[in-house]
Formats: sequence, C-alpha cells, structure tokens
Amino acid sequence: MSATHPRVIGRPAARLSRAREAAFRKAVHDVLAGQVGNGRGQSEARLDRAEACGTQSLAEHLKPFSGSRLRHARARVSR
Amino acid sequence: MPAAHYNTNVFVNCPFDPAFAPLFDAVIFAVLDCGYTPRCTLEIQDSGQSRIDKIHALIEQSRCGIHDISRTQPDAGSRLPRFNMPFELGLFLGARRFGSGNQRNKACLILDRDRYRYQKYLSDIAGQDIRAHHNRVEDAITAVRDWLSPLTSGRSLPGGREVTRRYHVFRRALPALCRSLRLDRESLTFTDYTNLISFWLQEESRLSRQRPPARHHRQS
Repeated sequence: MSATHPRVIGRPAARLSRAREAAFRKAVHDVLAGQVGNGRGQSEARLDRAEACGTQSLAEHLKPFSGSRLRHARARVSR
Repeated sequence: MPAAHYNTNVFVNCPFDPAFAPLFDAVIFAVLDCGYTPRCTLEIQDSGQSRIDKIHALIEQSRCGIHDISRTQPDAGSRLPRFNMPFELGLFLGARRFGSGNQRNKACLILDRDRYRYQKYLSDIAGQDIRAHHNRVEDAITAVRDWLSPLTSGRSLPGGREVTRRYHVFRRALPALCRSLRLDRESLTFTDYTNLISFWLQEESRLSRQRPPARHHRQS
C-alpha cells in the first residue's frame, strides 16, 4: 500500500446529520491536531499526536518528558 | 442500506455485555479500518423494526459475518446461558445454505476464546473458519484482519499489528473526543462510535499522507 495512496476506510451504516457530522469531524481534527487535551495534559496530547502521525519512535523518546522539557527534548531528538 | 453495499457489510454477532466490550470495540474498529461496514443489532434502537426482522435484514444485507461464541457461561443475574449468538450464527449459515443468488457467497468468521473449545459445546460447526482470540484485543483484531484480507480484492489491508497500533492510539484519543462532543464515553451509541472511528481513521490517514517520508539517521 502506497504511503500517498488514500486508504479505504469503512463507512458506518447509520450516517449522522450534516450538523452532527461537522461537529464530529471538527472534534477529530482538533484532537489529532493536539488542540484538545485528553485529560492527561497537553504533553500527552502531543505524544498522542506524534503517535497518530506515525512518529512512534520520536514519541517513545519523548515519553519521559513533559511541558517545556518536552519541547527541549524534541529539539534534541530531532537534531 | 442499499444492496450495493452487500459485499462490504459485515454482520457482527457478538455479546454486548461490559465484560466483552473491549473485544467488541476492537472488532468494530478492525472492520472499519479494513474498509468494511460493521452491522449489528445495536442499530435496532434507532429503528422501528422488530428485533427478528432486523436480524433477518442485517444478515440478508451482509456478505460477511463475524460470530463470537465465547460467551458460554450463564448470565450473572439470571444464571441462564444466552443463546442469541449461536442462534444468529445458525441463521447466517442457513442463509448461505438455502438462500439464493449472492447469499450463497457469504463468508463467516467464528471466534471463540480457545481454538478447539467449540467441539465440546457446538460440534456441528466443525469445518467452519474458527479462530481463537484468547480474550485478547490484539488477537481479535488480527483474526478479523487476516480473515478479511483474502476476501478483499484490488487492495492490500494493513497488517494486524498496524491495525492494533492504530486502535490503541484511537482509544487514547477517545476520552478527549467524547469530552469535546459532550458524549458519555461509557454509553456511546453504536452509531456515534462507528462514525467517530470512521472520521478518526480518515483524518489520521490524511495526516499520514502529509507526513514526509521517514529519513534514516546514521548512528555516530
């Protein structure tokens, strides 16, 4: 499967109303973009985002860190 | 749902109790991540049909069926076993045997806790595709993925390990998604849950395609 080729993803049988679908899509976008925390702090949300984007090894590196330390650690790791 | 979706509909016949919820949630995720549409009787709450009519319709509309027969112990409250799963498995196999047209190309995955346990309580199904999930999410996802793979023409499916990884990332995001939508995570409807998974997979796939290819660093 090509990395640039869109994946085929299943569609639920029961569709939502347009307004509700828009709200769901926005929530998903915001969470994946790291704009909404998941109750464990923004650092964890960033880690989730890193993992969601597939940068699992980077996320592994950053797991022990949080907050400003996370930013410094990320800079170190990516250098 | 139109008959055109017959080939991608997967009838999911599993226990709905809290103890089975981790496996049920994982199976639903795997079906969607493999590009199929999960159908189950939880859709009934949104319709006016009687339960048995809805079950007939779901089976008729689904080429594929996943049947978990691992719930053999009696219900904690009534102390009686529940027969819904074997009953619906029988309906599905009957549709394949006695149905006409595309009903005859139905495909069926039977899941149990251990591979050969069914021989002690449902030996008539010997010869079907029976796989064990060992009550483990990873094994259930891999069983579903590996079963759907040869049924899927024209594209390759992600591996079981990759689907499992994505499932765990999604589960970690689920509390934030529910909070954002003011939904109660413990009582998500089937419709809300499947739509959340589908939108999440679409967005995750979009982000993955935007990501630059991984570079290999030399160790110094």
